Amino acid sequence: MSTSENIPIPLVTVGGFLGAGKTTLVNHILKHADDRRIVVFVNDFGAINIDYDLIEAADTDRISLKNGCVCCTLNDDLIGSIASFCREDRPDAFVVEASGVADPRSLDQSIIALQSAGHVHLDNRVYVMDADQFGSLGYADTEQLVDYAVASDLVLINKADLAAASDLQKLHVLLKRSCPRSALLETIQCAIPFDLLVGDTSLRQITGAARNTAPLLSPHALSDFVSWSRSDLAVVKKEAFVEFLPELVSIAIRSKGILYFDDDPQTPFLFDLVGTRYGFRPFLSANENPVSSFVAIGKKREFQTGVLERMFNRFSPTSNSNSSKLENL
Amino acid sequence: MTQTLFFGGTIIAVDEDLQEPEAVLVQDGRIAFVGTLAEAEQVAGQTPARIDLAGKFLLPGFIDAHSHPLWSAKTRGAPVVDVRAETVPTYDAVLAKIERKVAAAHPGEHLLFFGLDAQLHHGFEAPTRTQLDAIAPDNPLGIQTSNCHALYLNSSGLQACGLDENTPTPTGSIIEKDPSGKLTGKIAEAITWRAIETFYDAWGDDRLNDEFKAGIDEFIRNGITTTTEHLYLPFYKAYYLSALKKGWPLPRIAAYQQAVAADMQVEPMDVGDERLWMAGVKIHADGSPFIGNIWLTEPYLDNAITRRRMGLQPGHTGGLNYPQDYFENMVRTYVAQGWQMTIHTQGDRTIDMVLDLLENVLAETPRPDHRFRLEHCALMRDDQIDRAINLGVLSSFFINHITHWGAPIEDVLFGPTRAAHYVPAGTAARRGMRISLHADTPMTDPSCLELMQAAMTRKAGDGRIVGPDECLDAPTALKAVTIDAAYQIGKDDMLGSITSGKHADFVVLDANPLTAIPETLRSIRVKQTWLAGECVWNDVD
Repeated sequence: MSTSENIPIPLVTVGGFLGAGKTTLVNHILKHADDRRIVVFVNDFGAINIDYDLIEAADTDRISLKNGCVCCTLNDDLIGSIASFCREDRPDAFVVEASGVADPRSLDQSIIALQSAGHVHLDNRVYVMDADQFGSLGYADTEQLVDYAVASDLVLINKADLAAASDLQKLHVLLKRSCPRSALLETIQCAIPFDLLVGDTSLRQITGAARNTAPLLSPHALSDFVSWSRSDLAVVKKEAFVEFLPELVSIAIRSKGILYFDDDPQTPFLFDLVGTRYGFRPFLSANENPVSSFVAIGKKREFQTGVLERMFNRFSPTSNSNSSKLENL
Repeated sequence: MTQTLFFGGTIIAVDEDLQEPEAVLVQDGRIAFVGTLAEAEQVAGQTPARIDLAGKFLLPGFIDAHSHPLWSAKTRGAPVVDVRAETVPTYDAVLAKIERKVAAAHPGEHLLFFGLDAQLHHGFEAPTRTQLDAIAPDNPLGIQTSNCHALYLNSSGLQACGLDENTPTPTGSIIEKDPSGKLTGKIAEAITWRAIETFYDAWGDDRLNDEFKAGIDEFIRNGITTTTEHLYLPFYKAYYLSALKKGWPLPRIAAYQQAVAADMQVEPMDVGDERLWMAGVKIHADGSPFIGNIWLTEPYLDNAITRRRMGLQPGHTGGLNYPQDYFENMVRTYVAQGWQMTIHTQGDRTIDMVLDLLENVLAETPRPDHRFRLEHCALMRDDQIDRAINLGVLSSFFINHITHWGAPIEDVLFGPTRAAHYVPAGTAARRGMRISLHADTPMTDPSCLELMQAAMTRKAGDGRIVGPDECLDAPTALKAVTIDAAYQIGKDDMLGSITSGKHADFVVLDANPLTAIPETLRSIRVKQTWLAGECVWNDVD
């Protein structure tokens, strides 16, 4: 299933120290991609332990999976490789692993170039931390990890089950102060809902594309997250929506929408939020029907659906509040 | 005699007489011939080393016309902790980082942090001495602002730097006191740079040499083969000579000695074959737009940030660093000694004052080809550009202000009208000035491709375009980091283009900066850097 030609393909970066759980995450992505075609770039093929049964074809620098996903080695020419996928063999998303020790920001310039050429959209920057190991790191390593985590949208505090509760608490306090713009999520074996990781699947969800019922990256019970969506909104009051954004940031981890605003009701905009970073882009949709749709995903405990209901009734007073949908992920 | 022949790629000579030459022949560090491959082979006469560019792009080595390589090593190299807003996003995150460093330090260890930013650090408040004493009771501690012009010290830091209530304030500097006369811990301008040496001294020379080497490598990796050491001080020479002696790939350095008084000795210096020379003198006429001490005709905007974070009163128009006669005396002295003047000017009123002075000085003692320079030129007006051109005065623009601080410049400090012509490189170039661009490292990272990108897009961090009328076209931007930069440091006869007779300083790029999408210039890879005919950087993936 390919994205339409004119939409930049979402790109997710995955950073983290050796042993933090990046490979686990990438493995999950490849195995549980559902019907999404994901192209993954990794540093080290050897570390990716793909079940033999899943492999369609293996080359020196590329493994094709039966589910359509592709795993490539991160070579010298990331820009060229991604551009060629975009031209010839468009996937639903790219996932690029930053090298184990290198700064995840080293990918920034390549991403800027790919974005400028219209190939990709930087969808999410994920950083994986080893909660168990963190407390035993020295000053220099701690600072390096924190500096890298700052440059991310989503920080996975992984191996949360192995860390003592007090250590976990300390790490939370530290990251809340030092990475105030990243969303923090405790995970076990990097298990998070796919929709938190790659935003485009939410887009397909809200545009009504069919999807299977395997939203999880791993079989762990993950009833911690909920999604709230509306797809009946006509035109949205832009000013009210923009005013609401800081509040949305505080309750949702990810959000996406195709929105028609009152100041320009002919043009659909694609709205995107991850962590505290959000943006609007004009969205060239084949669908002529001017109906706005919106989805937000958050932690069950912190997610105030009442706020969303209230706000959306204000944005678009004519819509029917009974049409919102709340789902456990 | 060693010969090297470059061919097989696109050669962008930045020399108007040379249209797309096919080959360049280098002999003993100099360019011996530029032209067709057949001719070059004929001139070579023997078997030169052949460098097949394999479709890549050969350009003259880049020149950053205003930088501080050694001073950067001091200012930003370890163990200085980087707290610039691009890494540490909020003021509270800065404090958290400082607290972690203090917790890991030995008692008495000198602790220095670089990059505090009143405009970019969300939730910024000026650190107080009491607050810093509470965080670090047992360590000399200093926090330097990202514009380098100010330093916040705790009590132990003040003591280590030898500052107390009785310390006289040097002309041109600020030692801030509260109403009761007690030091607040904040110091600014020249005294900052003197005081901070206390920290560098405490860490010793090994540290400085390591960081200097790392800094040099960063210039070279970015294809910069010539730059300046603005604010050069006589004791820097030993470090530079040692770097050359060790065979480090040191870019060619035009030194501009810092003058803070009229009686300083400026030693003529010319080391090696254009490797290190005394090019002139640098004087600060005013300070930094970001701390409020530049001189303006129209005041700063009045808002919560200018009032609370910067401590500016409504209607604040800043001022000069030195009393005008003191400044004038310095300029006249060093002009009389024959030096090229490079004067730090940010505010438009400062530029009026400096142009008035230079006009008088040049009328009294005319000097052909003086190449006097104004540095940074944040708020230079159109009429001042015309006036500078008439006087033969040149501007070197600190264009990265736009990319790093574009949003606060427009929204917080000066408003959209002034922001639209902030660092007016486009107007200056269109009216015929030979301009240069600079990163002012350590303030921003050394990359001439980034300078070109900044000057061509004027795109701020938040995506807005600040002053689209001031964008440069690609050829002008390229000249501003090659031949026109060479002109501004007085070496256009030897550097800045691929021309026969000049030094063989090149950069090999994997894309053409004249045709690349401007937003992608920074991501063009520097495949090789050649300095004096030797490959000093080779990107072997």
